[in-house]
Amino acid sequence: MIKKRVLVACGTGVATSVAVAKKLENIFKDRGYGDLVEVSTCTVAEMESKASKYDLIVTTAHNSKPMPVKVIMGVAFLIGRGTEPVLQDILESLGLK
Amino acid sequence: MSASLFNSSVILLNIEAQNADEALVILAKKLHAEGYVKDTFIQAILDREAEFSTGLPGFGRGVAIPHADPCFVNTSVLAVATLKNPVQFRMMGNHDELIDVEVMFMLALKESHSHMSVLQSLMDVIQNESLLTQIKEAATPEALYALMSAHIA
Repeated sequence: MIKKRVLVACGTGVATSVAVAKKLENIFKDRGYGDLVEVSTCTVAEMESKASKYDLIVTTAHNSKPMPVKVIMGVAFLIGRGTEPVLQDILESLGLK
Repeated sequence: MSASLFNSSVILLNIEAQNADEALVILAKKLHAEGYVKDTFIQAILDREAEFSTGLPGFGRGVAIPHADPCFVNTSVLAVATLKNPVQFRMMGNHDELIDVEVMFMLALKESHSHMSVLQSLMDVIQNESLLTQIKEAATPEALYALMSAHIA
């Protein structure tokens, strides 16, 4: 099966996107999707050019540009509250549930 | 390793600032004075915050995690400042929401991947209400350094 590809974007590509990506990887693993999803990170500036190669974008940054794939806000994973509805949205968007 | 990511020289307690920009400049200037960042880091932090705000609702207290591009950094370090009076930051990812920030964790990172566990631990710190209170009420930079070192692996 081809892995679903998730791109996590933040302003600099070094801090919050990395933290959210790590958290998502752990959640995917815990819930048995570890082998089905691949998570990458980038800056918001890179997001537009990379988007088409991914199934979904999760971001911590304010974004108003239209993207070719769905964009989901991932700040909940940083603050550890309200993550479940966001996770369900992510799984649904990836066709994993 | 992680121990080197903190230094009590870049931990400031009860700084007095009128607004987020003032608070950012105080801590960024300290980072520059200690040699961790280039002088351009100070403006970069302000620009970055204006474009991508970093206020977060930590458990019980607002925090901010300002950072800038790695190109402005000489040596990776995690600087911390507690604020005497809260200042308002815009929330990350939602510029309409304002957060009363009491603690700033300023990330000066040269690159990300070697610091992944640090970032993860920092997220755990902001979700820990009693720890955030201890950080906010730390009496000396050394005490805050000890708290950070104990919880960020």
